[in-house]
Amino acid sequence: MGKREIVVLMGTCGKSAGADRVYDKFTSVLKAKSITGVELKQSGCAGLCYSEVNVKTWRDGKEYIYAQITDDDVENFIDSEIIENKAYSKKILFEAAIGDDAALFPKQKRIVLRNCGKITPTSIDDYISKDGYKAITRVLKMPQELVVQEIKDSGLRGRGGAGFPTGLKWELTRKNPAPEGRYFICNADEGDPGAFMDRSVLEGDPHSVIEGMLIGAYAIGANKGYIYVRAEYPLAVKHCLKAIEDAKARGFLGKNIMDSDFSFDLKTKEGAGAFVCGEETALIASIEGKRGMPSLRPPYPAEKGVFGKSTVINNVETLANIPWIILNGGSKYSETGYEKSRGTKVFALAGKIKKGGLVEVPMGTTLREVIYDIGGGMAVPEYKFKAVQLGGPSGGCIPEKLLDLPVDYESLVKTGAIMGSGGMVIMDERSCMVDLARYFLNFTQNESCGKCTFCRLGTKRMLEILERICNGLGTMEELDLLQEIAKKCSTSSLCALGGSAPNPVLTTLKYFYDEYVEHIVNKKCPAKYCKKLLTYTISDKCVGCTACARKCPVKAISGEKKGRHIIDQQKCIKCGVCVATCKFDAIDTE
Amino acid sequence: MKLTINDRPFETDRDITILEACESIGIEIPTLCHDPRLIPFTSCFICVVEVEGAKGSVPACATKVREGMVVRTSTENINDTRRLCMELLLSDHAGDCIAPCRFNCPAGIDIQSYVAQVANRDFKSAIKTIKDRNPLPLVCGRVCPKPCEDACRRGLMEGPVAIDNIKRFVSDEDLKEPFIPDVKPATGKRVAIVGAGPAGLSCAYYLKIEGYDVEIFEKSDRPGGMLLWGIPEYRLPKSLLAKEIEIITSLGVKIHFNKTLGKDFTLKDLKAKYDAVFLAIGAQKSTAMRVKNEDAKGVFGGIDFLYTVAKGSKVDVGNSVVVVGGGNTAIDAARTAVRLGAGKVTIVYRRTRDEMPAENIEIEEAAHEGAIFNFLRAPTEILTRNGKVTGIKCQVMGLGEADSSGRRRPVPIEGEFETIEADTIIAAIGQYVDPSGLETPVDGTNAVTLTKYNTISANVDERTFKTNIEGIFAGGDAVTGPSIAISAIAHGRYGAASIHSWLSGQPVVKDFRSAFNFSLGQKLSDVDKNYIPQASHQEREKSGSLPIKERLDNFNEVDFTYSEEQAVSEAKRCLSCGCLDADECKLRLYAERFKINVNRIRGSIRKQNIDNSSGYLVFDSTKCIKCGKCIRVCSDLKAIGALGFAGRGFETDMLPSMEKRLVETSCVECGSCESVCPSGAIIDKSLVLEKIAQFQTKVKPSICKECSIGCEILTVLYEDKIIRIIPKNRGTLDESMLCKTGRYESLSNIKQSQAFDFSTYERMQLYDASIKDIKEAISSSEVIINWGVDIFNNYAPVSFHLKRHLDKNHDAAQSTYFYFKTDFNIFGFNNYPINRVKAQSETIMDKGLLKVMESGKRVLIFLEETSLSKTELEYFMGIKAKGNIKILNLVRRRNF
Amino acid sequence: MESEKTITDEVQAALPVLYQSYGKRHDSLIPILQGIQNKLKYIPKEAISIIAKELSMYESDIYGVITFYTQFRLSPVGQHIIKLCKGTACHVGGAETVGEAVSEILKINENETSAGNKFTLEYVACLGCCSLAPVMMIDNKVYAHLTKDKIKKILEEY
Repeated sequence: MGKREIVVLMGTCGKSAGADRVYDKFTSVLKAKSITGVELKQSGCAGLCYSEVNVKTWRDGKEYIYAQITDDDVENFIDSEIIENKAYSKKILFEAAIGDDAALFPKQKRIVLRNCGKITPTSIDDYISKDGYKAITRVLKMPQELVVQEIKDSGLRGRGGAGFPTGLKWELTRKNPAPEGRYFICNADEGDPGAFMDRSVLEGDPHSVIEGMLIGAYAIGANKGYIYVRAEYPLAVKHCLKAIEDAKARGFLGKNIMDSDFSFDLKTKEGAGAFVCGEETALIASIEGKRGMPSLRPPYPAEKGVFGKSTVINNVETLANIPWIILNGGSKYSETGYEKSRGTKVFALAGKIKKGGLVEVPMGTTLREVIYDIGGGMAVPEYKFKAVQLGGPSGGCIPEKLLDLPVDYESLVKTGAIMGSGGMVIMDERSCMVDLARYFLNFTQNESCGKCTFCRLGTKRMLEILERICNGLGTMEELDLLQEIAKKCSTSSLCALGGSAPNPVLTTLKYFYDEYVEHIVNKKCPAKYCKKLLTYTISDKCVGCTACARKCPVKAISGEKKGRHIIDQQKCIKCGVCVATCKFDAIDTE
Repeated sequence: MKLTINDRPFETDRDITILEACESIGIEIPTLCHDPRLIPFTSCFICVVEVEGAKGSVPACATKVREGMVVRTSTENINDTRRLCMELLLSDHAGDCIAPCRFNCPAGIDIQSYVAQVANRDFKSAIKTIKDRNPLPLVCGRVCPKPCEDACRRGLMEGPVAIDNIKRFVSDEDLKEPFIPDVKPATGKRVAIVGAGPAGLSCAYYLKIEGYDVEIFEKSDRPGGMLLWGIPEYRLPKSLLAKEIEIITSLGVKIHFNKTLGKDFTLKDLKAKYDAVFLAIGAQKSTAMRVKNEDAKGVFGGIDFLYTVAKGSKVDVGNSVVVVGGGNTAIDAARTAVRLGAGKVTIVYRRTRDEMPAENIEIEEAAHEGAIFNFLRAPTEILTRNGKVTGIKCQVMGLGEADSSGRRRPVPIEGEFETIEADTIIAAIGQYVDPSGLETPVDGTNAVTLTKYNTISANVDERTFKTNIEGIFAGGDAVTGPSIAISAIAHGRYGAASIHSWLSGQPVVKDFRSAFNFSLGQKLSDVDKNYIPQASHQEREKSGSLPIKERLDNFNEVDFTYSEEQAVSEAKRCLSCGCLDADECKLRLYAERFKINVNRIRGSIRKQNIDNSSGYLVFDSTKCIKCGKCIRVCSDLKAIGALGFAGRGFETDMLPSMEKRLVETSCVECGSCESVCPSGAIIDKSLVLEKIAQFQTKVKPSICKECSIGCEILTVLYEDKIIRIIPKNRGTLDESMLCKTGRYESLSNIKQSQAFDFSTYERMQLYDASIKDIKEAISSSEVIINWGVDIFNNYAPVSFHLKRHLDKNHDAAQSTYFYFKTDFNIFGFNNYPINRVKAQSETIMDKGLLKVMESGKRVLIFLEETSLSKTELEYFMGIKAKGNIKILNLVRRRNF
Repeated sequence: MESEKTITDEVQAALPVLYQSYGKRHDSLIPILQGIQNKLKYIPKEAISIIAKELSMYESDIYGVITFYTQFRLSPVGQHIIKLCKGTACHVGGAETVGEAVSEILKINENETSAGNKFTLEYVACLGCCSLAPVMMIDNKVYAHLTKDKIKKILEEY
């Protein structure tokens, strides 16, 4: 390792933490100091989002990851790392022997994220240097059935949420006659609020997804494909387009791939902002240029998909696993895992957690391990853990007592939550579970396509009930009605959006029923979150600055200048403006 | 394929849906969004069924049957799902199924209809509509306190429609040439009615119509009961009342006067002689004030006072009169006292003006005529000198908490009293039923049971009006205690219906009120103004009345009847609240079937958005249930695309394209959307009548004669007038989707006599064709017409180059709706295959066909057996008449 | 006299490239609309009828597509588009307060444009930057860990 490298991790998250500025600073400082022989590189997100901006270097057989580098650090960093040949000790996050991922990411196992943060995503050579496109080369010499068998052996299941065995999906599709050809679709419409695994993979390692698609397309006999990616991910779109272009130039895409009979034409389709398009049939409608309204299955896409043709739809994370499985063997993949869930799962940790970001753990790891051992526990330790929300709007909230559950499709479904695509939002005591249910219902209501009755109106009425409860206007009868609508909505909706929309309601009702009752009967929000249920009073911390009185929209606050103010509870509309205004923390809420 | 449906084996070899499978064996699956001609949309979810092993419930309209499937269509779980589904759909609905005026009328008169009929100047129909439920409209038009107007949605605008004045106009009109209902053949059964008041007369009228022999026993010497004795002449002239009653008696109702129950006859006698008895004895005794000296000279009960005056007896009221009470009788007494020459009339009431039960207008009139009100006074003693009234002592009251009636309870203010001088005191504080004659046993030892209020106990709730004694029914004030005339009239009518059912062994017919009815709010104060039908400003017509000074010394009628122009103009103010689709609405049908409680789920409703721009159609978004049928018909079948979706989620709308007004879109106004709409979101405008309501109509099949296609239609007849044309098989998209011309424009030409009459049609001679026949026919014909879908698609190549044209002009609509295809190319006429869509907007084809027929050329028509039933056209007869035409009937296909 | 380019002209100018890239097919509709919007920042109603004719589609279908997807706008927007994330992590992290702050500073609510046509405020379901919550995106740039004070500074940059 003669040549020195400085790698700035520049995923969307890195960039928003200032990675562009840091990168530019490196360029200018290196130039100013006339340093040559140092290669400044860009890479994707390594998942350490809590510590952005991350910079990586290698020295003396060791790999260093630095955290929270700002442009002010750059000069000293170069002095230390390059000139003095010493680690920039102030900001080391991890140091480990090169290639020792296990040391860098304890308790994790990186298959999907194997290249993220390591390679330059816009460089096909970088990908190739990490055994990229080796798998497709091997596959092209294999009979298609054997490729399918390999995936079946791996036990890989769809990582989009439902967990349908990928190999079986391919096999079933192959069995459908398709004289007019097939389609292979990558579902990158990661719409779950709280999930960003697919974004990071597409940004940080787009070629692995393309290679996964190539393998799948070859196996099922598809020669047209789309990556359906959210328009809200501009960097991912950019990297995908670049990767497709480069892959074409190298003969990995297009006609007669690597001189074989196999041709695959791949395009991107940008979503236009509709969560429901993550649902297969809606995604198909969207690709066809229609409103993304789901239709009844069967017929499944395997039978009648895009433009009525036999189609496979796999999600990004699923596909990123494929080249690894081919290179290492299905049986190797299946060594990792828990019962019917094999391999690893990527989670996006966010919320009130110390080390938010991406983690990839073997199936079977417990939620507690993910949250505490990897995620570092609560962001603010004074506030106790309350719940973890898994699977976004289709998922549910899991309370403390269930944290020792293993990460496994079946175990999670039993709780009422779902594995989902992997969003994991951690909440502490300050989060109100009724409000959370309301939040998700508001989301699903906005995202409902409006086609079927239970989803269009059921979610609306549930939302209205939850709003009333949050505002202290709910009744116990309405709580029963809420449950009734929720149950019917989950059994009588056309698609998974409506079918799973009640999950946040049902799980919070299941594990936090008392909190609902508290809102309804005692008109109190235990988390002190629901503004309408709070009483605002001014404590003796008040210095009489009059700021709150001036801001109060209903003039409910009065008091002498420099004297303690009081709030007229009759007039108070509980808007919370005073709390936001007070610089002395003098407004108590109860 | 073998499967099980509701535990019955089912076998099919076809690729059908569960819904189709069920239909084929007579199991009806409810659905709102499904139409057999459209690709399943699965939006409403009413059609859910249970399939063993399936996750959740399954929409039957789109799920194909599979080998071994076990289907259940009506489990408790499924019915719960459907019920909740309906409740959700209705939680986003606005409107009134039945007009609130009708709903609030005790007799349930179809007010919206007769008001519309007046707006159409069809007074004869209006009186018929009214008399269907009220045989005394002339009376009601004068004395009714108008609960209908209290509910009128127009009350949220300039003021309610003057329904009562309209009715009064119609019934006055009717006196000129009274409407006499048809009386059914005599049943031979006899019914006795006790009391010739509004309840008794009404009961008699409707029983007579049903063919019963009806006799009324009346204790006084004239008919009318409380209408006659209790309502002063200046409000209801006795001569007019007599005329209206005469119409009833003229049907053959016999009244025995001066016959008092218990004195001149007994119930036992009646029961023995008649098949049924209706007790309508009223509540005629004045309630006493129970104060000291109530028996003094100069003290009257309210109703006794009015009775005495009505009898014509001279009453000297002196100079100052005190009337006690706040109801209509008190006001009547006060205004009567004014007319009898009292110098000062004081109305004493223990509450305030706001709590007075009397009608507002009556209170105002009394004040105009000089009556003085003294509120919050409760009589405690009548002051007398020598046994003659000199005044009244009253306790001063204040208002306390609200009581059960919602009015604030009067409470005495201790120690405060007021004394009012008076020559006459009239205590109009209430009436009660005089039960004399009822106490004697009728049936062995049983007498008619009375309630604790001394009224007759009869089953009002279920509208049987049965008393405890079999065959004896009762209604009116005798059952309810003192109430309003229309309530008694309603009892008479419902009582008659019940007696008829009982005597003919039928169950009692349910009232429309017991069915499911969506309402914007039973009380006007509950109604959201944003959802009432829109109308431009128009003030309520004022009816004239006698100037005050012309009233005080006589009993001339005070209020005047509307002029015809006033009545018509006022009738046009009606907002037509009752949904015109109420009888066809599937939402209402299922709501009724699944016993929906609309109050369980309530929430915000989408904004009202009414598109009135078309001359033929009205779109009302608040009645839309998003089934998408209109859009799918318009786009997928008719290839017009004038309608579309907008937005998503709760805010999803189904609208004219681009949120434009309908007329600004590509809409061709064919009405297909209206035909498939399951609710009242899309309705036809009234083209023949100025105003339309939930009229009683009849439907007659016919054939449209506007063009050569000859769509089968249904003509909707109202009073022998065709008011609407709809396609056959409405609601399921029949092949006969009509066009603007056939459906709407033709209405101005079509007369009933012109409508196609199947009975006169004679099937013409057809030739079964062989290849030889066809070749021959082609060679000898100058014009060849290919008629029908299969003919066109399969034989067109034989008859020249139609196929070529088809390919060139191929589009979605054509492949579905080729009915009539012809090629005039050869003869220089329009030469492209005209599909139905085009035929609707342009009638090129018809002109072309006419031209051919008139040309005298030899014409050959290919026709196939399957389309024959659809092409029974007048033009064919026309063709035959010309004699130059040959028709080949192709019996079997693919013979070539 | 030089006449200003009409909206129709602008749409007409933008379309040929888009037809070339995506073809005149029904499934090109969304990319074409995206292309128009990238160029004009909204989709003028005039564009709908032009595209409808070219792609042989109903205007109503195109309108239905536009109103279905939140990305599309039918009215002009400000110079910069603020996309405020409403994702779960952002919600838990106080997105509501952030939204209120933006509204207060710019005096606009959701889908409104600030004075001087500078900013348009939109809410989006999730930007996928959950561990940086709360976040917003101005044009294509993401801003993380927002606080009220930070927002003021950021907006002043524009």
